[in-house]
Amino acid sequence: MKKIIKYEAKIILCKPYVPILLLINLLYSYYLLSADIILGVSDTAPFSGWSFGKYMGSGVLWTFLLSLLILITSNAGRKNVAVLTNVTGISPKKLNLVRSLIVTVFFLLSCLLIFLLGCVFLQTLFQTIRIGAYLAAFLLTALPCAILIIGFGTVAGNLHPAFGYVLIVLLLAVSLFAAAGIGGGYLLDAAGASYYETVSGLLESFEASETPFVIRGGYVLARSLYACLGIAVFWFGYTGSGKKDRFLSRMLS
Amino acid sequence: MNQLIKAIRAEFIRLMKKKTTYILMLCHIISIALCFVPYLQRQLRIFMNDGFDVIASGTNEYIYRPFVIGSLAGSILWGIYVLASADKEKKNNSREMVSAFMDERKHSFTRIMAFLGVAILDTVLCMLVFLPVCMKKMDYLFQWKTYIIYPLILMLAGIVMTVFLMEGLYRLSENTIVSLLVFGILTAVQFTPAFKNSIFVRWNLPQELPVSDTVGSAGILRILIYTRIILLLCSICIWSLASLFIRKYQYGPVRSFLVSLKKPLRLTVPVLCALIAAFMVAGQPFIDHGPLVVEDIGNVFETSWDLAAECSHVQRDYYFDTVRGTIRGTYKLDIEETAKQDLEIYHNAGIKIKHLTFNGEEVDFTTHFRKEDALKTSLSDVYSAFRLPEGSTGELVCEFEGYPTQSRTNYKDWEYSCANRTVGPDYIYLHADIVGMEGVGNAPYTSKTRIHVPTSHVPLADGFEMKKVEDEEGGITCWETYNDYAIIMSSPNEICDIDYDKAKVKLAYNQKNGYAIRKYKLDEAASDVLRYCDDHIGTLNTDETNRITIELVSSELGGGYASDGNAVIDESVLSAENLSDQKDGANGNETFMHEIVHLFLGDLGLPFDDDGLWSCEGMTVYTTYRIVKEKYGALYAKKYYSDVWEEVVKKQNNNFYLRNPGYLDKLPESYKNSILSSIGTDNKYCRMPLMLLKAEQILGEEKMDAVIQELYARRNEYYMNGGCCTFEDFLNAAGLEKEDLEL
Repeated sequence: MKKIIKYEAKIILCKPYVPILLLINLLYSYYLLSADIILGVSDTAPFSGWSFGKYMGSGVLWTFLLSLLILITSNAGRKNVAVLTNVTGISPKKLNLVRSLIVTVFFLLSCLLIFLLGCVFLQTLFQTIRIGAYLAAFLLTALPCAILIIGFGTVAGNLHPAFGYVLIVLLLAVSLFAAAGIGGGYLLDAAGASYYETVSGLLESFEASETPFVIRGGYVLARSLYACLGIAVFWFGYTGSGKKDRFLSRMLS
Repeated sequence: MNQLIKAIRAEFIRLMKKKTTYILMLCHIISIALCFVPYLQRQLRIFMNDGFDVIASGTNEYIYRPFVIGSLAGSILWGIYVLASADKEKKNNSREMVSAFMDERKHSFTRIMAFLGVAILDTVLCMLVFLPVCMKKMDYLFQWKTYIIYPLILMLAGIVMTVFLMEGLYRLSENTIVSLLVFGILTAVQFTPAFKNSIFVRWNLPQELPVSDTVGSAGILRILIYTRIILLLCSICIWSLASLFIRKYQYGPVRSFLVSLKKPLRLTVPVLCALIAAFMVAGQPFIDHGPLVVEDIGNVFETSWDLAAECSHVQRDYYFDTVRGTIRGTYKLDIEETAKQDLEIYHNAGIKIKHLTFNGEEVDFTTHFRKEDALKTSLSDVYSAFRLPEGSTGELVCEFEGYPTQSRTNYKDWEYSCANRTVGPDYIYLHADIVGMEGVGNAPYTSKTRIHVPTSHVPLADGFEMKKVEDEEGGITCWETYNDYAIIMSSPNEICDIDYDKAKVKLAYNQKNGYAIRKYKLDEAASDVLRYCDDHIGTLNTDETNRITIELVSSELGGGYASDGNAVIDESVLSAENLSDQKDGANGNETFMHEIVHLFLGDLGLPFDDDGLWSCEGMTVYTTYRIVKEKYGALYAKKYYSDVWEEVVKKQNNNFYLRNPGYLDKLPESYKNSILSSIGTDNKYCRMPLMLLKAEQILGEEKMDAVIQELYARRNEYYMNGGCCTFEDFLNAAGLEKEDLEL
């Protein structure tokens, strides 16, 4: 099993565009910190939970989309070798799970890098960080996306790649619209970044005081629904995946 | 060669037989058409102008912006098509067939040429479709030249770059996803604040630069053409380099590249393109290539002109090459006595001194950037230093030539602008920093300045008409003035008198704007503002000639200012939108009023102290509010003025760094300056007018007018004492305390 994981990790992650895009994502995160977050979101402190939440959400969104892209491209072309992989000792659904777990670990590690980058930046510049609020923002933005990646990974092998690309564009569009306050707002936002900007703006008192950092129930519910969606897709994929491949392999043999 | 032409023809016909080609053309036309939908037009205007809803010229609204969006849409559509088409060949294995009778590199080239043919057809089609719309919208300001040039350099160039880039990326990676990703990154990077002002990065979404409806904006056209050529060369370089990686003998990219290098001549095109592009970037004539200066807007036009020599007479002659945009001329000084040996002439960095002679003998000189104090360095200024024997007398002649540049600092931070220095066939506008344009030393001397401009032009020096001397050869006319001056504006101008009995007020505008001036009676509007100010502030200050000129200049200026008997306003106040739209907020009409009010409040009328809050801008904005209130009603003035001020002040009070100034010092200098600059602007344009409004609410309108009149009446006293109107003076005159006006 270890060998399979190592082999799959090599196949999935050792592609030239993965480290390049990860590096671009980190540079973008640094740029976000130094150009946008440094000014503070909705007149809150740059080191407030609001500002960090927006930063984390934006970073997570691009990492999430990158992870989905990796999943789609790693599954492209696998159908050609399905005949061989299906007759190996490991079942296709387990193989799918391994793949999605590898991408999920990659996603979480990337998010952790973004999280650490933010903490180091704010600590260095302002000598103040609010780790509790930051962790809450990290978990609420990254975890539902991680669960969605696991879920999507289990079904990605059976989907046409075009569906995956459309999904990425759709998620990106919904998130960008959410950031502009159009559509369902932060309830539909894939990474939940817009919550921190929208709600801090709504709560801003204009009485020359700091807006207290709060996590609303509606936001937790929206993030939980995203996580549930991931679990549902995972359940569907895990119980149903592989059937088509086996059918195909029987036909081909 | 014959085979290549046949292949291009075959590929072009193949493309033209595809339904997809026509669907993409239709999509492209629709994407441009969206720019004419009023709601989207406004959103795009805000998007392209960094969040400001500023109505620019008709050319910007109906030609420039739609075709910039057309460039982006065309780039995406045709880029994907190029990629899909290349990938299809790989998927259906037709590549092997093609490469059997044609080199793959040549085949790639034929595909590019065929796509370029389609792109040209597409551009022509788009231009034909939108021609009637633009003609109708632009009305009497429509110009064929503008309509043909901008779509070609903005849209067609963007699509051509895309075709080369996508073909190159695909040949390099042989992977559609990687190619699309790189294309996406290169496109997305233009939207990031870090690069959105870089004209060398905006390849398929060029920046929106203010373009004039009447005078052609030759300076902007030159920079656009120059940068588009550089970007085109870069895209050709990418393709020609990538084509060396075309897979051969089933090798990978590196070994295929090494095989391609067996014919080293193949590197000629990419190396040549890269070298030319690099030279063009490094040697661009539009910026000064000087040190980056910590920006201080107050010092942009502040220059030092003291030659440290006593002169009896100064004579300047300026000749213009309106096609190349260069200036050449001579600057003669009859020096009576030099105060010191080391002398300096300050001038624009783009202007090179060709010869410097003293009494007919060559004088050695060296040119330097002014680096001694970055904060006080005048932007885009250099000085040429030379040495004369102390106490020497004679004629110093300076011959110069060059392209007037702007500061690298401005170029980097503000985006390219030709606002202050432009030389074109229909418009010449030069600020103070051309050689010898302002005064020399403190001693009295006589001065004669001659400018040689196209015969159709009527030049103004600091807003004042010049004397026509003679018609010269080649459609050039010589004009003369006997004053030192700071600004030359030469264009086919018309000058009319404004009905105002207390001074000779003239309105100067381009002949093409005459229709709008007469239709919308702007001369009467100017007269109304002058009368309002007369009734509520005091009598207009004029110079000894009792004359003032309101000058309408190219919309490249983007706003206006008033100084030295001259109110300068950009022509976008005459755009159809600005003139007809009185419901959509404080618009260009009100900018027109604002600048005229500056004739009373500012350096020309009542001088103001500027402490970051109290300034002439604040008082002018408040006065404009009062005029607007009288003209359009209290509701309009509240909605578009006082409510806006309140909102800004509320946001400002809540700003984290204002609440916690200690954290401001922790920020990098550039952020600190940016925050302070933003606070300063809000203070002048919103907080101070709101404070004055609060004072008005306490005192009442009549008493408020009386206070302003009292302060205005003291203007001569201020001039005599070298002082200016302070916040304290206002409080004393109004009988208020500082605390009364706190917000």
